[in-house]
Amino acid sequence: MNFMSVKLARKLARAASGLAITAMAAGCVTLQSASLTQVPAKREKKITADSTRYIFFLLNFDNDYVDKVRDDLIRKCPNGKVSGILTKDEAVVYFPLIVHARRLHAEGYCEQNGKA
Amino acid sequence: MRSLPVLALCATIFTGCTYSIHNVHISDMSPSGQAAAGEDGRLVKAQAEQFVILGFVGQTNYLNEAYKKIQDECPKGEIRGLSTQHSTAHGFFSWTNKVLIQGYCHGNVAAKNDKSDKNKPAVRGSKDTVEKGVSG
Repeated sequence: MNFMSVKLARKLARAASGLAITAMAAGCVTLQSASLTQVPAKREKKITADSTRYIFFLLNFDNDYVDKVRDDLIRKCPNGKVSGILTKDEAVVYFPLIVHARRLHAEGYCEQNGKA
Repeated sequence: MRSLPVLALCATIFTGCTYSIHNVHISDMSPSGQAAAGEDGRLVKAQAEQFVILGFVGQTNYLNEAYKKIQDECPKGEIRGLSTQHSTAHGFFSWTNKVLIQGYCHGNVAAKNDKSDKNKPAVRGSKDTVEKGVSG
């Protein structure tokens, strides 16, 4: 009986530590890549664009979410020039091996008719 | 169990020794060549770091910090020929993520952190730098 309870306690401790590690790893973010383009002198109109792709069981079938960021920047600065673009690609772990995400963030300055 | 001392020794030896670069990006350079490399520009740098223990970190704001810093270094000028380096320096069960942004500031009068009077030329670097700063 005593032996059984020790075994059970060990199993519970293992499960608890596994859960604790999972909980700690949840929400961990890693920067995957970064880039910056030519920064303009006039920095008045700042525009941003974000896109997130949630990935379940590490299965991702396309990378179309990247195009959304580019399209958003174009939409937010019609007929203008976007420069000083900081691009940030992040990997997020929500629940190890089960739920992950890739987050793409871009921000820059919109210049229209020579005015920022 | 036998490999534990070897592992501990390796961990001690390689602590802070290994370094990996993840990506390098270079922006447009206009004008290219000598003008971009110093004829009419001042080299500006910004670095930001993030110390991570066992990967438990919830944000990557250090990149935004570097982005802000490089703009503060050239508040009124255009920054061209930018290079962005993202790397990691490894430590003992921990590591430091680093971002280094470098570029050439054109047409800048003074960096934001210069306390000098704006009417006076910026006292930053050589005389050449001052003249270059006023030119733009």
